[in-house]
Amino acid sequence: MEKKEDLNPKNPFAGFNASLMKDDDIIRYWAEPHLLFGRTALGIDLTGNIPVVLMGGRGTGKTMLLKFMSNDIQIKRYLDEHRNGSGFLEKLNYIGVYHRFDGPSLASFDNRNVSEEAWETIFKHYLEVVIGQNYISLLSNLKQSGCIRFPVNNERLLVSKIFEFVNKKASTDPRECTLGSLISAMQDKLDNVFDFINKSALSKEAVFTDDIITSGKLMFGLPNLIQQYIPELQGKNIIILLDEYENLRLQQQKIVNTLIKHTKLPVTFRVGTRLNGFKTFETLIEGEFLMVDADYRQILFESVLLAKEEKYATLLKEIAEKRLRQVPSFRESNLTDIKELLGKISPEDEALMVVFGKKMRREEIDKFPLERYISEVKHVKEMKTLLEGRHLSQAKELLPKLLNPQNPLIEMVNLLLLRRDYDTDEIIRLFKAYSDRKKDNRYKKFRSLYEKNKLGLLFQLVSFNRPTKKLYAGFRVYCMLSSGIIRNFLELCYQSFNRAIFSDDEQLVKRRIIPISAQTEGARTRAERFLEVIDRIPEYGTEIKSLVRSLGAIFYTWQKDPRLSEPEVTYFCVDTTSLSEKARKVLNAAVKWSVLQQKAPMKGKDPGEPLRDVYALNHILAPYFGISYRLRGRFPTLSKMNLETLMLGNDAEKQRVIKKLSREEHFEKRGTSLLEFVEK
Amino acid sequence: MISIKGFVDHADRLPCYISHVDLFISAISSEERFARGWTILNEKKVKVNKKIIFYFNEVLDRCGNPEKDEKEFDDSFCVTGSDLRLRVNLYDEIEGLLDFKDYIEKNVSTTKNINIVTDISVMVKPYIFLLLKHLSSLNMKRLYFLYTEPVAYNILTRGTMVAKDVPGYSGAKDMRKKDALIIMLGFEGNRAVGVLNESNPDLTIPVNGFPSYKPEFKDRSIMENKELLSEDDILKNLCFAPANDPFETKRLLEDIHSQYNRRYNLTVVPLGTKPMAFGSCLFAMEHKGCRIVYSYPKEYFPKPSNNWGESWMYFVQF
Repeated sequence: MEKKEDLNPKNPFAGFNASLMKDDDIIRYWAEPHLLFGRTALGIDLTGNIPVVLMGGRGTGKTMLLKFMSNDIQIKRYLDEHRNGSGFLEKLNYIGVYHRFDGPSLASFDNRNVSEEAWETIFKHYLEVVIGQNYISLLSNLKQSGCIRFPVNNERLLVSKIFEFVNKKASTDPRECTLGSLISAMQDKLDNVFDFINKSALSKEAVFTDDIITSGKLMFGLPNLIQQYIPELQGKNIIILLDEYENLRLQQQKIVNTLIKHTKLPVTFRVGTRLNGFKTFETLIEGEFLMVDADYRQILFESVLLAKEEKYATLLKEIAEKRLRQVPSFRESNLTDIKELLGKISPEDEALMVVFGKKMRREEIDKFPLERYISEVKHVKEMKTLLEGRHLSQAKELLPKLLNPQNPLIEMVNLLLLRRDYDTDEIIRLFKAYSDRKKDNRYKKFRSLYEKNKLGLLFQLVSFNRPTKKLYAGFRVYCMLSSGIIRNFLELCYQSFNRAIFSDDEQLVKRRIIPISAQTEGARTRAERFLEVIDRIPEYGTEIKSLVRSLGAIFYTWQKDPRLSEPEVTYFCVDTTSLSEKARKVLNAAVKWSVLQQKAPMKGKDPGEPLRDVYALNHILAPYFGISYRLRGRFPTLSKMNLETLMLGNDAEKQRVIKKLSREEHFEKRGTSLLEFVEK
Repeated sequence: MISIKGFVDHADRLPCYISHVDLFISAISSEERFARGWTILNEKKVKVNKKIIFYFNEVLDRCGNPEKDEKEFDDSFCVTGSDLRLRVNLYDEIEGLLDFKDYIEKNVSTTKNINIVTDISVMVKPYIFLLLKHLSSLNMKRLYFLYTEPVAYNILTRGTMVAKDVPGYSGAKDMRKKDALIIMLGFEGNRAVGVLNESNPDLTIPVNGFPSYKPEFKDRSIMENKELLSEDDILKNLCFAPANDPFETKRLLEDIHSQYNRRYNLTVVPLGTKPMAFGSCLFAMEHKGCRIVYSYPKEYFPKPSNNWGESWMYFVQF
């Protein structure tokens, strides 16, 4: 019986870790990141001769890209579209072999029972065997899928040549001179490595007995040999795709750096690493370094993706569409546009919802009694108080001239100007010019104030109306919350779909939009999860979490600054050269795990101040702290002492610094509850 | 290949199996259960010839009066001149074990038939892993272990230092196979997800301790690992092994091995109870290809448990 497709909506965004994805899923969900592939103009060719280092935070898509370029996926993809493998090699200018550096096992290439020199030799040998075995698996894949056909005797001849290469004697029995027997022989060599690792862990007497393969012998030698025997492979680059380079230990990185620097075509490298994943740029040759542009090109995922906001949004839309298409109920309803499903909510609409507690039509607002508006709406009440302080008798008459219930954010601009001690008449004139669209200087000034500050003012408006919380919804907002990390976006979608499907799956298909409340809740859950994960960061998880909680609390108070001297504060500057080694390591680890995102250095606010390093809190955390998801306002440069206290200090010291750096007045108002972010 | 057999019995039945102990190994801790095994031996009037007690520097450092407390620990174990107080660092199990090994080689005649009893109740897992590996390399025919359950758990650890292969248990990865991760669930879900993310396995099998020491413990480990278990592909593989029986853990791992070994490299992550971790090591010693990865914490909390419950004896025969 034919299997019927399940028409109930399922969460299309479940499964977002490429490392855990099956090959079929990688093919199914693959969306070509043109931003990355289309960089040949910058000298970066993902399939070309020069090694490329792909640097990015967790979930930016490095593994997906590297795995996609591997021969396993490329062959599978070709076979999905064609009846057999013939013609496969003609279409590609490269062949990729993928290897992931497994963190837990790399640490075992080091113990005090064996000298560092010996470990270096064994690791080089191990790497040669692993990549060598990968090459042979590649040949086996190509053969089994029909992508290559060995002329009679060529396979046997090639296999016996490779056996010679790895210092092993080929069997005289032709039936045993196969690729399979070669793979087994390489596995024996690997077993010897692991046997030595296990024996040497608790004994000084362990001896490594296998023949050592010198660095580069298989890695660069085998491809040449293979190309001699398989003409279809001639002229193709053999790309070694190395994932999670950051897991390598310092000495191991030097070994890989040496291979990258001295790569020999047709072999070249693509290396995936977290930000700050390089522990060293040194090679094994004294005084020699791996140099960006000279030895390799570098792609910083987040920077590339965020630099072109529109293209990034298009990529996310494409990725989401591939997933939505996999779910029959969405496909059938032609509901595959994530932009449509997430919709859009403008700050103005949200402001109305905040003030009136629900969505209001224009006519309804017009009918809302002015007396009630003045007596009940909190920000208006503050305007009234300020006006009464200035012009006691005229306040009642002046206040309506500053009101615009159709757009409370405009009223917030007027309130801001009152707080900034602008002359009342001038505020009225500015507002009038804007309302009348006079296009004069006053109009421009008010418009500029409005456009620059409206999101910051929305956050203030929300804080006037507690327990109402800021909404985090809409496609654009989700794009910004994701901070250039594709997995963030997928997880945001996953969480909001979970809520929408759980509350009413039929409504989701019928209304064709995920409710704003579900999106906001989803964003909050994602933020909480992201924060929880910080604990897992090896070595510095606790310090990073402490810093993040403190920064979140401080930024939150700045957002409530009555004069809004810096709207939407989400980043800070620091002179990293002044920091202690530990503090620098904490910052580096925070960047490596994308908790903080390093931006281009900035000049200090005072003239003559040197360039400061800039770190932004990952926007995915914004819903947790109730802060902005944009890079707008800057926090004054953090001193060495304050920053180090926030990450390394005890609770009392931390609270003292938080209090000092916060907008004091609001700190006092909220009392200790502000510290809920820190104490949780 | 070595073959390991064994069984579990109540600790107070140890005299039914041995009349005397040639070497008793234990450790100090702030936990109330730390000397429970020793007390049982005393109560049952089992003669003990020699003792090696691991005195963790960090435990002593945390004491208000290290000298006084050291004396109290001595008294708890009735340490005499012929016994060894091995001062070691909690966070350096390799150095600690090398000291232990050195001492054993010089001072203890390890003939096949001597009786060694090790109380693993308060030893941190990395010590248990290495101790077991070393003791098994002494060519003994049998070994005895004691374990006392706690009544309640407090906070166990803080932060993660690194997730890495346990020294000596790196297995042998077969590049032709996929990777399977078997996670013994503990009370710190973060550590489980951390290892999962570091390892990126093709298959994940979580194992919950059931029956647990107390009924609520099994639910706690599920709750604490909700993030890991929220993945359908992981939850569907959930298995159970008794929290206090290492041989049942080993048996479960044997079943998993026979089912998956042909296609997968097996890695065990023993984050559950100590008996489950102990069983994982027994399994890995028998299956040289299998690997044990442990998430080493940044800090062990001084008093991870309260009071004591049932005490068990594990008889291991090689």
